[in-house]
Formats: sequence, C-alpha cells, structure tokens
Amino acid sequence: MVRFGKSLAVAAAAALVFAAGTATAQFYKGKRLTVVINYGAGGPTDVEGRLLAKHLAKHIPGKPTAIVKNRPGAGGIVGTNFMAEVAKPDGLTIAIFTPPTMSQMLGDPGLRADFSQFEWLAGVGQPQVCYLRKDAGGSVTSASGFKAAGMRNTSSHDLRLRLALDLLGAKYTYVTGYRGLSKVAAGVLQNETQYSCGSVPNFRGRVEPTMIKPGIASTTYYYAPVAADGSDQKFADLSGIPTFQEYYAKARGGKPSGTKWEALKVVNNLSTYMLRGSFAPKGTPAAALADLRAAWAKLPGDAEFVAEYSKAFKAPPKIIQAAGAKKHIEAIKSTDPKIIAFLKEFAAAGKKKK
Amino acid sequence: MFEAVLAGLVSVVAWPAVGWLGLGVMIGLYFGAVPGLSGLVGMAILLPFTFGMEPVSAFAFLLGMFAVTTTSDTIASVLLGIPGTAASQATILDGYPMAMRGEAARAFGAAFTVSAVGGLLGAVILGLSIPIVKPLILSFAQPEFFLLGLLGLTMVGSLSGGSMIKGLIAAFFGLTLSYVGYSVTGGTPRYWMGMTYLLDGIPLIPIVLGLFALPEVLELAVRDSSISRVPRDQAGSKIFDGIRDAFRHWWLVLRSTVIGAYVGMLPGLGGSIVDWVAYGHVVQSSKDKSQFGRGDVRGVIAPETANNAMKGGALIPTVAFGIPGSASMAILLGALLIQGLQPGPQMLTSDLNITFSMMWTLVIANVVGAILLMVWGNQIAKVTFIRGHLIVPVVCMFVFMGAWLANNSPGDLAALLLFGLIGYLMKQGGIPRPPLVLGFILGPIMEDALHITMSGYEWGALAQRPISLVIIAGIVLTVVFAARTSLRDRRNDDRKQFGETEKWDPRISTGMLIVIAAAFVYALVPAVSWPADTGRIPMVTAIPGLVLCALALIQARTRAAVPGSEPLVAATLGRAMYFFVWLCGIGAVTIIAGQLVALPLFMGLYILVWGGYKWWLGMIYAVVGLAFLYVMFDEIVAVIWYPSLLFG
Repeated sequence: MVRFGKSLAVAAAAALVFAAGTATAQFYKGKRLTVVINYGAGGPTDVEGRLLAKHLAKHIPGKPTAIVKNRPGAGGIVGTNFMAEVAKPDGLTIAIFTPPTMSQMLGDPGLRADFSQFEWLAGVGQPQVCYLRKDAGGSVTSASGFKAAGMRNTSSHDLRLRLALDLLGAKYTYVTGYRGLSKVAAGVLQNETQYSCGSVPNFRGRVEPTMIKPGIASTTYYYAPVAADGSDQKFADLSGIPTFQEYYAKARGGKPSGTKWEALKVVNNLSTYMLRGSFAPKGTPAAALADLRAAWAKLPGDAEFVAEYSKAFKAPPKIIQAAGAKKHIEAIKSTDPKIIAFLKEFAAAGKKKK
Repeated sequence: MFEAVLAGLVSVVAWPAVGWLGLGVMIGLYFGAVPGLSGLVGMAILLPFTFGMEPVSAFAFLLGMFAVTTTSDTIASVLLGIPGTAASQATILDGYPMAMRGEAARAFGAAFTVSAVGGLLGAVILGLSIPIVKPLILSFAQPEFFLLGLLGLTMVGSLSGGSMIKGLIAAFFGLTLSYVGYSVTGGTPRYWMGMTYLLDGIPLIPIVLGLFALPEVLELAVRDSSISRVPRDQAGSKIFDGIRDAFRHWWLVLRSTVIGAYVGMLPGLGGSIVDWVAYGHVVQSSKDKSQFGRGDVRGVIAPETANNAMKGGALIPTVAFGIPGSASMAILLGALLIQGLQPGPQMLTSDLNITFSMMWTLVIANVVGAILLMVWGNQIAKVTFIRGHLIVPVVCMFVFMGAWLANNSPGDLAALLLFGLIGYLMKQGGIPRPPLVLGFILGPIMEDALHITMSGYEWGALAQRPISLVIIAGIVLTVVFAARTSLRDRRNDDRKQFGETEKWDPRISTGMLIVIAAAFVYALVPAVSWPADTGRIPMVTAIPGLVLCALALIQARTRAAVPGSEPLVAATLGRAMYFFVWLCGIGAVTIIAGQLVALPLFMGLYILVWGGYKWWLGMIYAVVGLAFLYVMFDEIVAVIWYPSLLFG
C-alpha cells in the first residue's frame, strides 16, 4: 500500500520533471534510494557497501536518503536474481554487490541473470595477497609439502590459489570448505593449513597483525591485474610486496605461460577490478543513471570518504567508473570458450583432489 | 594490568561513552524482545553510526546493545513460547510451561537475575582468561569441532523426554534438513528442488518459529483461554520469587556461567548452541528430572545464565586472535578495523585499556539491562492473563515478520507454515522437537569440520591430538551414562522421565514417523549417485534414520498401551487445521497485496471472527498493527516488503 503510494508519487514527480524540462537535480529530491547488498549484514561486502552508500548519497543531486537492504544467499546469486527479476527500474533501487561473476562464467544452475544486462555504475577493486607460514619450510616453491586453504572449488579465490601454485610447481595439498576469509586465516593461524590468500582488508586487518607481525607467516606475492601487453598493473599501497609475475620470474625464471596462466589472468583481472560492482536494473531512467554515475565519479575526490575508507580497509579505494566496469563485465562473454571449458574442468578436478 | 582495568572503567563511565552505552542498552532490549530481530541485526544497523565515534564510545554503543539482547529475549520465550533470539531456544522448554502455570513473573525474576550474574561473571572470566586462553583456542581446530558436534548430539538423550528412539529420529531429521543447499565443497546443490531459495539451505529462524511458536499459537487460538491456565488472583508468583530461585541455585548458575563463557570462546560454536548445552547439562546433572519440560525453574536458569555469559567468552578469540566466533563478532571485528585498531597481541598490550573497556561495557550493560527489565517484569507478565484471542493476532504478526526477516523471501513464509504444521503434528504425536533443532544447527558445523579434517589430516595424526581424545572420552561417557539412566528409568516405569508433551496421539505419531521415513528415503535416493564428498554424509544420516523409524513403528504396533498416549479429539484437530488455513491465508494475501495489507487484515478479522469482539475493536487493532509495522519494520529496520501482485 505504502509502496503503491510511493510508486505513484515517484511517477508523478518524474512526469513533472519531464514536462517542465527542469534539471535532473529534482529526480532524487525528497526520495529514498534503496541500496541492495548481496551478502548478509556485517560481512566484508556489507561493511564496504554501507560505507560506499553513505558517501555516494551525498553526491547525488537532490541528496536522497540512502537505506541499505541485504539480499544474501547462494554466494551472491539470490541478490543478483533479485536485481534482474524483482527490482524496479525506477532509479530508486541500485546494487552494491560482490558480483558472483565466476558463477556466470562457469554456468551456475542457480543464476538466472546475465551481468551485462544491468546498467553499470562503477566497480571497486582490491587485489588479493598470499601468505605462507614460516614453519612450512621456506618458500612456496621450496616447501616440501604444505596445505593450501580455500573456500569453494568454484570461487575465484580457490581458482587463483590453485592456478598460481600449479604454475609455480608447488607441492601442496588443497583443502577447501572454509566459510569465509576469516575462517581461512584462522585455519592458517592454527597451523591446520599453511598457505592462503586474502583481500587487502582481510590481509591488513587480520593476517598482518596476527601472523605477519608476530613472525608466524610471511607474505609471498599479490595478484596484480595484467594488462594486454603482459605488464603488471601495480598498486602503490602494496609496493613492498612482489606481484605474482615478479615472484615467478625469481623462482622459476622468465614469464609464466600456457593455459593455466591465461586462465589465471582472466579470473584475476575480473575478480580484482570488479571485487565490488554497482549497477541499476535494466531500464532505469537515463536521468537517474546520469545522476548516479556523476555521484560515483565524485567519490575518488571526496577527501572525507577516502580517509574513512582507507582507515577502515587499510587501503585506498580503487574505483573504476561506469565505462570501465561495463568493459570488465562484458569480458565474461568474450572470454575464449576454451579457457572457460578449461576452468570448469579445473574446478571440478579440484573438488576430487584430496 | 590493574591500571588498564581502571582506565577501562573510567573511559566507559565518562561522557559521552556512558550515554552511548545507555542508548545501546535500550536498543538492545528492544532487539532482544522482538522475535526475529537479534543482536546480529542490531549490530549491522548500528555499525554505520559508529564510523565517526572514538573507539570506547563505539564499543560501548555496540556491546551495550549486544550484551542485553539475550536478557530481554526471555520475554518472548517465556510469555509466548517463541524464542526471542536464537540463543534462548532452550528457555522455552520450561519458561513457557511456567507462564502457563501463571508463574511468568517468577520465570522473569530468575532469568533476569541470572542473565545479569552470568553476563557479569562471563565478562570477569574474559578479563581473567586473557593471558591463558591462547593455547586452548589455537588447539581447537576442525577435528575437535567435529567431535564437539558429536558430543552435542549425544545430548539428544537429555532433550528427548520419554522416548530416546523418537528423539534420535528427530535429531537425524534435523541433520538431514541441514544438508539442503550447496554442499561445503560447492558445486553440487542438494535437495533444492529447482528453488533458488533453497540453494543456501533453509534458514534457522523460520524453522524455529514454525516448530515452536506456531503450535502454541494454534493451541491458544483453539483453546480460547489466556496463556496462563491459572487465573490471575490465584497465581501469586512475583519477580521476587524468581530472584530467590536464582540465588537458591547459585551452584547451577556458576556452572552454567563457565559453560557459557567457554562454549562462547570456541569460535564457530557460539550462541547457537550454548543454551542447549546448558539445558542438557542441567537435565543430565539433576537427580529429580520429573519437572523438566513442565516448568522447572532450573530449566530457565541454566540457558539464561549461559547465553549471557557466552558473550564475554566470544570476545576473546575475536579481539585477541582476529577469529570471530559468530556473525555478530565478525561485525565487531569490522568495527575494530574501522576504528583503526587491529586484533591480535596489541589488544592485550598497548590497547589493553580498550579491551578492558569492552569488559566493563558488558558488566554495566548486563546489570542495567536486568534492573530495567525487573522494574517492568511484573507488568509484562500480566500479558499471560489476557484472553488468548487478544494476543494471537499480535503474536502472529511478530512470528510472520520474524520469519520474513530471515531472507525477505516468500520462501521464508512457506518454511514457517510448513514447519508450523510439522511442529504441531510432532507435538501431538509425542515426537520431541528440540533434538530436531539441535541436529539442524550441528549439521553444517559437523559436515564442514569433517570434510576439512578428512582432506587435511592423516588418521594417525588425529590420535596425537590430546583434546580430541578428551572429547572422545566425553562422548563415550555421555552415551554410557545416558544408556544406563534410560535402562534404570525403564525398570522404574519411565513416567519419571520428563516429557515435552504429556499426552500424545499414537495415530499422529505413526503418521509423522511415516512422513519422516519418507523424507529419509527422499534424501537417500539422489545421494547414492552423488560424488562421495557430497553424498556421503546425507547417506550416513538417512540410513540409521530409516532404521530407527522402522524400529519405532514396530514398537508402536507391538506395544499395546504406551504411557501418555491419548487420541486427540477430532474436533480439536479440525479446529486447529481450520486456524492453520487462516495462517496460510496470511501468506496468500501477502502475495496478492503485501504484508502491510495481509497482517492488519488478519488481525482485524481474527478479532472479529475468532474473538467475537465488536467491529470497531477489530478496526482499531488493525490500524494500530499497521502503524506498528510501518514504524518498526519499515522505518527502523528498513525491511524489504514482498513486492505484491497489486502494489508491487
């Protein structure tokens, strides 16, 4: 009933704006913007999403009230289906997700949406940093056998972890099934496993203080996205840590190559740049999209936001704007089918591995 | 050290921290009292407000709220038989029967007192344990968690009432239900029937509300009396009687505190089972078990002490090692990071005063929360003497909204109604419901742990883990002890054993056993063809489940008169089913016109048709209900309403 009233009011407001030809500043005036998050309250996606939503709203002309609603489930799939099938394209609902891009690439039966169908607003990237316990015996390549901890065989975390270790020729046992990066880190701390990787916030906030600083584990490398010419896209805040390619050159000599390397690049570039993604349902009014994209464009220059984000996640925000986000999302479809077939097989093989 | 303790206290009682603490406590009391809301929801809502605060105020606000949700959750558990939060499920087993006897105020007195004592002592244990817990926490890895889960399952004996076989069947049924959705190793979704809703498994809250709350609501609607079966003028119980009970059972309070603090300390187990562990302990350790399940105050004291004591324990791994034991603690960890603090050794050295400020926050919040509730307790308890027909609509509103908050999906309502029916029939058939919940909670913990143990450990290495061996010894002892008690009670006529329901219908029992057996078959058939890591555990559960069902059915045919069995009057069952159709109507109208129409409409019509009151009273009830829904759920919690066909 209330929704109906609101919808009517929105429609009336939109019509007025259109008729009068006034500036789009009126679109969000006095409105409520719902930000949907596809993970549960309190998780890394939620905390980051709420922080982004709070600052984003300041920059939208008309300053709407932003409220956050969680739509968790099935590794982010439930929320994605919601945005595709239920959310109205009225400009009043947007998503800030950890988009389950691997689910689309690997053809998850539960996913009923195609990410390229959405109106993309922005992406927020963070790379993953890997670490190894010191008592595992030297480095990833010299240790005689260690356990590498994962979450789910089809996740980008596990795919990258195994592809990188395979490329390095490491002798390891793959142990998956931990629910979340903090449980992964706890397993390494307890010496149940000896190696894993985590996002920068997870690494800086949890792994570094409990394992790196006390001397229990050491950092190995981080996965830098790789440009078309094969060069690493480095991040300034990780300057003391080698990239995977640098580590590989030192340990094995030369540059990595082959199907596994191609697959690692595809998975890593997508997962790093689009760790979080923001979009609106297909058909959202152009005026609303323009306002939302303009607001995202202002975020990197908002000193208050950057300070708060950097304090919370121990890394500066790495925002890519709408066009860049769309390009990365469309890469899912343009990926070489052979690489996709390989990844499916590789993920399935990991499940059988004991 | 002492300076840090003092500095922590001074920082908490200084302005503005103490103001935030007070506000947190008030919000926490509300979030605990409303079923479906919880400390977790509260943490998520309050977190963004702490971004700009200084650390002590931020934690005073968050922990002040978090500490008292398990104090006020007693209100719904005792008054209505609905767990206020997941941590007070066990409280309803004796708390609600006490309310039916007109002793709600006494139950409150006991629960609020022990919540304060448990919370206070739990926080002290937190303070004292900090230097010594590191080896304990670090040595509890996946093999130990699997074994702890198994130990938890052996408590089924204490929760089964008269029939151990039926208890085990319910536990296996709960385990099987927990396998719905993606398996831990990913890839293969199990038993999802093509519904995305089921990919992540069935959420706990709709199951618990369905199993425990709806059967009580059904009975209240059919019986047409107040919750208390004793009239108000004959029920002399007061808050003060409960406070006296709490002090009389001081030894139990101490034991439950230790259970709460240490179970809370083990990351991954935490609040979801601590009340069951404490309840299992009090039943196992009591000589006279005859009143458990019928309103024994000790059955309220044990879980209510433990669920507050747990919170001090849960802080330790979070703060000291960055290992959050629960979703709420994960949010607290997020808050630590947002404040620029880092979990780990420095929280015990350079930032020790902040760690102690958290301890003081827990102490103060627990005491203040309990005192506030005591002041209101006698008034709140009067609800039990109001005519049932005036209570049913508002309870239905909370139950339906509580279930909806799980995933904001129509699947939540379907799960609520389905488990409401199952719960009612289990109750009428004498099949205990608590083991089902215990199995459902322990299922994923055990499966995750077993999977990682099997892929990450050699069998030989397991034998060298001393804590594993201690837990195995504990499991063996519990089973032997339970078997001995069971045999002895059988010899002495097992009426002395406590029973969840005193009277049950053998026909309904048989019918439910057949339904559960069919569910085991349904679980078994596809599991046979799944890969080992996906299908193994469901098979290991379903096969003994089937055998037990067969045993129970044979027993029912061969034993002529089972004590306690009594056919249900057909008219009562018919009326209950008629009311159930009304409840389904809420779901149907929700789909057509949304909750903001369905729930007020139900409330108004119920008052009119079932209650037989005047039309204007129904109207007022509906309008107040609508206003409450809008303010509390739309404005405060910002719930996603169902996008209905009419108003989308």
